[in-house]
Amino acid sequence: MQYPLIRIGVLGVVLLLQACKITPVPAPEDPLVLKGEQTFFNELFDGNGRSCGSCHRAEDNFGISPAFIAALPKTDGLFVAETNPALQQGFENPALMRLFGLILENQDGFDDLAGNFNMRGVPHTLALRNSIASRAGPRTGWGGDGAPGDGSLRAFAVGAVVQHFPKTLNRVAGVDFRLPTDAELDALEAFQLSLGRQQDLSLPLPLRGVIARRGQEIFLDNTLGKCNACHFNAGANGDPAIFGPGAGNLNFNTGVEALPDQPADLTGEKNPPDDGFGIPGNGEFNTPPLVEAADTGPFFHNNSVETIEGAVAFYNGDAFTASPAGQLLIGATGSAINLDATRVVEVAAFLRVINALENLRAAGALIDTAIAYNNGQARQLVLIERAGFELEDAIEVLRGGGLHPEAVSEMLDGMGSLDLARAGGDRKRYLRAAKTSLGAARAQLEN
Amino acid sequence: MRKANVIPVAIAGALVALGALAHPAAEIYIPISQSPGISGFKSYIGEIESLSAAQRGITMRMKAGAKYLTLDDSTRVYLQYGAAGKKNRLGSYADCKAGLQSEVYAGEDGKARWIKIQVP
Repeated sequence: MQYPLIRIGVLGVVLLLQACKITPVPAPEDPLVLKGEQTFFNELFDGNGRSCGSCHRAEDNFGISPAFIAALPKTDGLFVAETNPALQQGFENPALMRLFGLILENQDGFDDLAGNFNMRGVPHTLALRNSIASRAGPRTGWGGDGAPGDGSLRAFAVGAVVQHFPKTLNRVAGVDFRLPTDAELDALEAFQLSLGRQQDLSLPLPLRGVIARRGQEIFLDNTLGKCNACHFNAGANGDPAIFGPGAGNLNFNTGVEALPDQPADLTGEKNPPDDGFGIPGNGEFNTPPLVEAADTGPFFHNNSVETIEGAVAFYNGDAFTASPAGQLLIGATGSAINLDATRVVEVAAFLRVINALENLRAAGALIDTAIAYNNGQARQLVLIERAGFELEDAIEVLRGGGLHPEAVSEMLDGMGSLDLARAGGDRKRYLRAAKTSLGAARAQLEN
Repeated sequence: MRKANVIPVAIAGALVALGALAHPAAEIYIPISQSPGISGFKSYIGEIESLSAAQRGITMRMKAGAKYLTLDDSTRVYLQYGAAGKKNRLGSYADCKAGLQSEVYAGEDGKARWIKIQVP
């Protein structure tokens, strides 16, 4: 009588295998985050053809630089002010956009579009999870007050649609654009919070390079670089030992607006002074994180400084020293920041290396997620491409400072493995090889 | 020499106290009842029932009852025209009229941070 039992057993196995074939493997990524990504890059909100991704480019660290803009086709939604007659005056300044990556903002009101505006760089959307919260509420955008409604990151998208997406300057909801739904806002928030670091570093790091290691010392030294006071652990938050527990992300008037010869001003284009936070503004601007700084230039709210070395050197200069933040620092520490050239380079090297470490971490995480998908799934290719962007950035950041050529060599090997993975075949094998190269690169940068 | 890691508490407090004063400009173009995180949670949506000019006060009539609120110099008055073809603009207390649909975002003290008025 065992034959019927064997048949039942075989049938059971067949049914089980059938069930395995029918049931899809669960996606390794959060569905809400994926929905947010789709919305971020594809939803146009019935507007002028832009999406969030028009300015916040995945390929450019979720910001946008002049070099990236220069390579875009004329039909790209970013250039809608050049192609839509209703938006040719009072919406953007194409010259400043193309030259310096500057976007027009009417953060002080829309009553006088010809005269009441400011030109600002596009802030990246990395590490937002640990860069927005403060005792005074969430800080978004360059002024820290970028979002309408409750001022949250979730609400920020509504303000962005109003400012950047309208078909005409009447900005009538339901006609010139549609507002994001609650579900879309939830998804966009989840996606943006998922980008980049999910927690701050804990300095000091065991860096191997002598220059970056010295730069870290200067960064943390409140008698030398004094950077850690406002960029605690190279993040966007104030040092709790100085500003109190939970101070979080802060605004400061660091005197950037007082810089002479600002690039946009040299063109002769109208570039009104930017008064920062509030209406009218108080001159203060929001503190960005520094881990992601080296590969997200140009720097400051108006893209006025191109290099990370220049950004560090800014704090030596008259504009910062005379600023309210500079005077506060002098009062508290007894002196201005006064770093000689070698020390400026050392601090910049530190910032370059921690940026490269973050690129490696991010690339590794993307590769791990890609490995979790089945070979051939379309999503896998997207993740591999993004891992490639991170590695490219890390290579550029280190080469730009003449740092760690051995690590760069390992990363180039990793890029080769990613290229093979992109081409097909046993993707997971190539991805694992890429991860091995990343590990070797990391071992060159820190112990 | 003052310790390098100490900033006077009063100054540190001043650096973080200014967040409450933000008035994001885009709010003017967000229709009544659609302000993210505010409408349905922290605002009063209804009809202006009556006015008290001396205090720049308004009484809002909502489904849940009435609420007296005041405007001051910092209150933003947003005049909304919907799809009428006119651009929304800033107004003043003088634009508050009984019978108009409105939304008011006010603090616990009843002082309006902003008021949106649907202009017929």
